[in-house]
Amino acid sequence: MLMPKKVKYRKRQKGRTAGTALRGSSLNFGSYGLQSIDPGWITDRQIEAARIAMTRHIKRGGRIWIRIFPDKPVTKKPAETRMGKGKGAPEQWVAVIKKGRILFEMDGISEDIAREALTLASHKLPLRTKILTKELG
Amino acid sequence: MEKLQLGVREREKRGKGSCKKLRRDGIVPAILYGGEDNIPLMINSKKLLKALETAAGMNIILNLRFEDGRGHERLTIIKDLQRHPLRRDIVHVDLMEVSMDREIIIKVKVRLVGEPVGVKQKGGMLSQQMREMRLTCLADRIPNEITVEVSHLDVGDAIHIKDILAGEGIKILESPEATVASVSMLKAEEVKAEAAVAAAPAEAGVTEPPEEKAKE
Repeated sequence: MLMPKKVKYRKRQKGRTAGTALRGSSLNFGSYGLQSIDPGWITDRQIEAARIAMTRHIKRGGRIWIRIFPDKPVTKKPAETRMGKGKGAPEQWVAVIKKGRILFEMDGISEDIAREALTLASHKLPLRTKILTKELG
Repeated sequence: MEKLQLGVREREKRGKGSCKKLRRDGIVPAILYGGEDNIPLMINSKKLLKALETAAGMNIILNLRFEDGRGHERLTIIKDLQRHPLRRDIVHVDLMEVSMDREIIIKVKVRLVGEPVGVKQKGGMLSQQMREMRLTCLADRIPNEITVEVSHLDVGDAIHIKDILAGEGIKILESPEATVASVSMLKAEEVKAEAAVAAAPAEAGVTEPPEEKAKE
């Protein structure tokens, strides 16, 4: 699972995801990519599930690039706890996604297989996505 | 090289607000430079998109005709084109004035032709390291694309810039040792990792809480 090796501060504020991603919004490595059209958070588990879905579908051909990294800790209070008494314990890592962000890229396979693999990956994610090809990217 | 005439008008108002208004009306703000002076322009987006549909793509030579009669015709190339990150429509265009007797530096797409022997017979993977290359030539000699034959490549082989014949009057500006495309086998670790993933699907969703692993 993807996570930072070391962090300066263990807990972070929620933040906002308004606006469009200006950086990381064009295809830089592969010929095909998955672009988010909604803002939100993607957890490390969701990234891993999407990666596994793509890898299994393309078998041994092609290459995958993961363009996002879950570097934000999300905390959670234990069950049946009263409010107050400080912020909860870190529970998971998420990547903050703005709309327009490229999530995954692929290359070395045919467009049909890439589209199928990226569709499978998109089913593991909590956001709406669209598939980009190099001509549009 | 393809040449096309495009009608433009000089843009009176500058700034973000007026450009946004133009875009709402189906007009793309543009700038022309490289000549005597820099001129802010506006172009009909439909006409611009049609100009980009030719085989030359971004490397088309545009003959700008001022519809408001303010300037004389100018030969230009598209130096930069900004697209909206989500809608992918054109937001702004940089046009550079060129002269037919002066060499220019331009980026041209690289297209690989054929299926390598290493991929067909040995199950290797073809990867393209360079998708476009910088070259210098006269404006009327700009190629639509550089085609590179890769069908003879075996596993472990690569094509470098020095192996490419660009054509008469065209000089490639990339390093001669730079790799354009190569055929390789997947690394043993990657294959092993994929096999492990396939063998243990139940482990996919298990993780440790972040607190234990990433402390200060």
